[in-house]
Amino acid sequence: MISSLILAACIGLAVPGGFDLNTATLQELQVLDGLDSQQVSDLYYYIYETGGLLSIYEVMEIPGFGADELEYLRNNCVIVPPPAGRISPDIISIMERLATEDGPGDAAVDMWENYLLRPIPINSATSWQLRSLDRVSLIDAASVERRLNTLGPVSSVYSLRDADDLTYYGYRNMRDYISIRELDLSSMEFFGSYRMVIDGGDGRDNDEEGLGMMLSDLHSAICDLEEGGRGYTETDSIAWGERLASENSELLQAVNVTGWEHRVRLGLGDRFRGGARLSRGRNSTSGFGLFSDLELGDLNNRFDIAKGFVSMENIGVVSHVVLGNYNISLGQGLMIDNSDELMYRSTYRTWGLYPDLTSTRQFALTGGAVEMRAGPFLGYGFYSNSARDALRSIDGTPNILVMSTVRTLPYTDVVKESTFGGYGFYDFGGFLPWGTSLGLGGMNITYSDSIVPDWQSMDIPGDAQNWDCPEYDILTAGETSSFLSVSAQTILDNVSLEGEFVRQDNDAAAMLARGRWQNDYFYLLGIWRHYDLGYSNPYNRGFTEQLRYDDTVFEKPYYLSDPLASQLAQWPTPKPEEGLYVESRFQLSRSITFTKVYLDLWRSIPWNFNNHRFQGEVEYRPDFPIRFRLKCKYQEKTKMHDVIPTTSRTTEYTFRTFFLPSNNDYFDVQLRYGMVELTPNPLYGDDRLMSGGFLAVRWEHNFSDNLSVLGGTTLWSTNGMSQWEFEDTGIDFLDGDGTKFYVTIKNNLSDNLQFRLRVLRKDTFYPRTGLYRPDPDDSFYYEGDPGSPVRDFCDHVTEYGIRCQLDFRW
Amino acid sequence: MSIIAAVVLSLMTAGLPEVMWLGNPVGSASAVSCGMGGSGFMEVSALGILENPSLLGIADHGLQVEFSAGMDFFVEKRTRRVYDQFESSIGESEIAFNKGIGFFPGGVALAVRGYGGLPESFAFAAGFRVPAFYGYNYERTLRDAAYVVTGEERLDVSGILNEFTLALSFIPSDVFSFGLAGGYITGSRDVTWEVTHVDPSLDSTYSHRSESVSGIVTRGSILFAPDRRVFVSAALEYPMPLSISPETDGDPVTWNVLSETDYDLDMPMTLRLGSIYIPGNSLKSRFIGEFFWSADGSLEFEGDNLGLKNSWGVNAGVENSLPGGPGARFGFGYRRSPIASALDRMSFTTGVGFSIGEWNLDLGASFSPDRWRQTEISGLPSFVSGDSLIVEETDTRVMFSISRVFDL
Repeated sequence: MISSLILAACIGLAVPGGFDLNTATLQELQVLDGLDSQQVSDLYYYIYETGGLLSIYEVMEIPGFGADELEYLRNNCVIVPPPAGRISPDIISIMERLATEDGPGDAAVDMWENYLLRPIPINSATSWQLRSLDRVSLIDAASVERRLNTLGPVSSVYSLRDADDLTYYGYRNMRDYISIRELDLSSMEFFGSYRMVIDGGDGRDNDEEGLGMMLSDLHSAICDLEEGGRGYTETDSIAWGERLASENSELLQAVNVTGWEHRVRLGLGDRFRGGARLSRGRNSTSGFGLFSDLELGDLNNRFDIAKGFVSMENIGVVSHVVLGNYNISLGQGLMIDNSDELMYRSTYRTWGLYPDLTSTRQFALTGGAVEMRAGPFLGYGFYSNSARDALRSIDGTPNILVMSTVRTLPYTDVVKESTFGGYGFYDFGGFLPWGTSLGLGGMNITYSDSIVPDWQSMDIPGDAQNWDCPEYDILTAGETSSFLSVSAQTILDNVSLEGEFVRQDNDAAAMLARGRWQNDYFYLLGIWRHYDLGYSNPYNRGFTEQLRYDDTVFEKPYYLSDPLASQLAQWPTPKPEEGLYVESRFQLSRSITFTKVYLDLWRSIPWNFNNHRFQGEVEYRPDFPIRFRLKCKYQEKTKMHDVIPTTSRTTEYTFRTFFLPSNNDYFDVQLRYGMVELTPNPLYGDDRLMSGGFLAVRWEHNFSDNLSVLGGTTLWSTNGMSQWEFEDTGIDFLDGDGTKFYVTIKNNLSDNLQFRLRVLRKDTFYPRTGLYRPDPDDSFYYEGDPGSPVRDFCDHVTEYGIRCQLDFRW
Repeated sequence: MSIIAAVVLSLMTAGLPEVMWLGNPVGSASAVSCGMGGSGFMEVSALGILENPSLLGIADHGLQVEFSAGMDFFVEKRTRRVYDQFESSIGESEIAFNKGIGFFPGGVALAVRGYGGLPESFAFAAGFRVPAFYGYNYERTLRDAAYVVTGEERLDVSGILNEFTLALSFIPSDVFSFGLAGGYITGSRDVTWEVTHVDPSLDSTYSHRSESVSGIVTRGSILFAPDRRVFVSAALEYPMPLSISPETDGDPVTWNVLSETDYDLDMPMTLRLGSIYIPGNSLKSRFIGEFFWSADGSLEFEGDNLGLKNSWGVNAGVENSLPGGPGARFGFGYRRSPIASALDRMSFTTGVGFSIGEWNLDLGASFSPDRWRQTEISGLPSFVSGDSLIVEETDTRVMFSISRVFDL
């Protein structure tokens, strides 16, 4: 009692007696005869608006209150400070950290957010669970498992620090997602969250794969077709004309369409989960009848993604069962990982089975999946039946699966895909080093119609470009494919070894082996991979340097019968390649760290071209608030072209500084310059050297823990080499010359409600000169008005983005 | 060009002048709500109460007065797409660039609660507000194929709608209040279109149309406080048909107008829902969220449907008291157009508020971009040859208001 009084006095609580000011009603306050009625009213509303006094001295902040009122309240009232916020600041700050350059994918963030809301009970956790956390290595996960199994449960998360071979980096990344709480299977605590995102604004969408570019490509194709320059038969010409016109019309409906997202998650204790998502992306075409069997009026066209799930956990040997949409990622992701993002050079991936409310559509698995755990055995089984988009040949035959940025009716829900499979792991932990296991899995994919690759339907017969795409040409017609996988992993002190081998029923194989050696100041990672040309598993998300259809004819819409087929270039499976990747991070001293250094040597299997890529980044931190980083990147890559192969040599330098002038301010300045040099090729003429760069400045000011404003601006200039810049929430494409600025306001109103608003303006300039030409056959013209001459002009593109996100949690 | 201007222009030229009542909505006409996403329906101020009379249930006791005014600045760029001989677009060339500033009164109102002469459970408000105004200027230089100036084209749209409103609220408890309001709307809109030519042998065009408008609007609302930190309100706005009297002079134009003589025009019923959340934090935050739905799709004229869509919108905003400084506000608004989805609009808003003695001075600003192709607005004829005309526009509005609560 005495100690509590001393503590209370030390932190400014008023003692003794009286009532709690923070919970008093207006009527109760009115009995305080030491205050007049205006002061009572001011006090009440101050407490109401601020959520409660943290200390009795805070009454001095109220206009009209002085020493007398303070003394009076000290003697007559007590202050019980309001409970501190539990969820909001942690979640927001961690989620922002996740959204960084080379950051994790949508599916991973989704999963981690779940763990932030409902942390993993650490004393019953396994290395299988922990390894899927953000930047937690298998060694870190296994060291925790070993610690728990050999020394028993921990009483605090911090106690894990004494686990052998657990790096501080791993511990720091793990601690937000775990807690010492015990599983309470009888609990029916109801919790959940709702998120609404509105993503709007207007302007031209000039990204490489943006809607504006697609419309332009379609226009060009339609005009070319009308002029009879494509060499089709008359029947095909009519059919292509109708298809392209229909797609053009559909895409026009998507211009400047505002994106919406509604996402709800619900949970009951440690057993039951449920969730749903309705969304439509910005500049997305309509929904094509999300619930075509239900008459929902406009709702069917208002959204293009509808997902939902119910799940149960911890039911005997069944540790997790999901009905509805789910993500599953096992082994090294060579056999099954159904996210729609192939993270280049990604060295961490989510692992296991978890519900899916992400924006993935083409790779969404819809059905049921189960995770079972019995002693050392861990097993997964999954089944899915989902519609898939596919490009069609001109006669309507499904030609090849495609993941469309903008979906159009001819290619939407073309086939039904039935997928089933299983994977079993035997954990040798205890008998062999913790983290050691062997796995065996299989998967079968069946389509409702045979998918018949037909390059002649993709190629323009009358153009000068020869069709040449071995990644496509090797595909064979069929309805079914199956896969068999073997995986293994083990830990030797602070070294991990992992690998997976998958064989497809066409005898093509994929292999990946990785080793990692780590301690607190250093790690060395090596990955060897090999993907056969014929390995065409749509769920392969293995480590790679390039997407399967990168550097192929699918990157050039004007070489394709339908320019929209170029969306296949975004198909997120690895390119057929073989390579060795070595990455390291090491801290030389407190002030100098090589934050990430890697070298990738790989060989393109279809062409046998050798490529390499190097990146090194060093950080100098003379004092805690100041950091300087210098990054250098060099890449040499050869790709097949008409006439002769072309080698590109890319060099890029980035200088960056971070500066914290005060606890509430954060500055970040980045300067980048890059060059691309191409070997001589008659296709390019003399235009063989391209360059570009930008200067970006960001400043964030925190008004309080609950409110911050971030502003940034970027200036860029490019000469053929466009730039990619990471903003606060994503990657931006910079082309031409231009400037942009943006402001983001983050307001954590309470543990329950967060509000985030972002506004952006981006101006890009493309000078167009030398346009006026007297020869009408060689002239530029206005659409629909070929008679008016076109003069030189500067194409000034202004884009606006307004994005609002509301998060409500309980 | 603001959305109203876009709407007015498209309607005027596309044969839809009947939706002139859309105008450029001012909302509750308060700078506070302007800075909070345009969330005027839940703005507890004298002007906000005119739109949602049940807010009197949580208004300050005493005599509350408020005055506001604003400025609207629009910038519009019109471009045409240019193609090369391979039919590939090489960009968009500007053919017109217009900007204009319009000033408008927001309104003036008073609200009385706790007046000795009234029963404790009754309160009232009265005032004048501007629900919408019109303001748009378009100018374009005409050139021939040799790029020589041959003339000029000019369009001017101006006008304002005024509403005089009386609101009454019944406040049976701290949890519920009910409100009723009635307003008389009057106003006008003028449209002038001129085309002049350098060549004296060509006839110039001058056309002017002036319309005066009058009507009645009624509102009923309810406020419910399920928690001491949450307030929820719902309202129904039911306008009577507008009486419109047109006058024209000058050259006849081909614009399709509803009628050359006096006529009545239906107005849409609007349903509004809103909420205030006061979380209680060190910033004394206040969050407002609103939703409205308007039955534009049911509107008819002489038995024919006007071809509009039901419209709806959401607004949300936050007010924070910065440590040692002014109140800072920000918010966003989204509104679906009843005309075409190309005219759907999103806005970003911000504002500050100062207290000087007993007076509150507030500034609010909103910014709203839009981009649309003329082909997306059904029936819109071309100002220029060809069909690739694209309009890029931004609407920036700044509002000022002053308010005070007097003890009674």
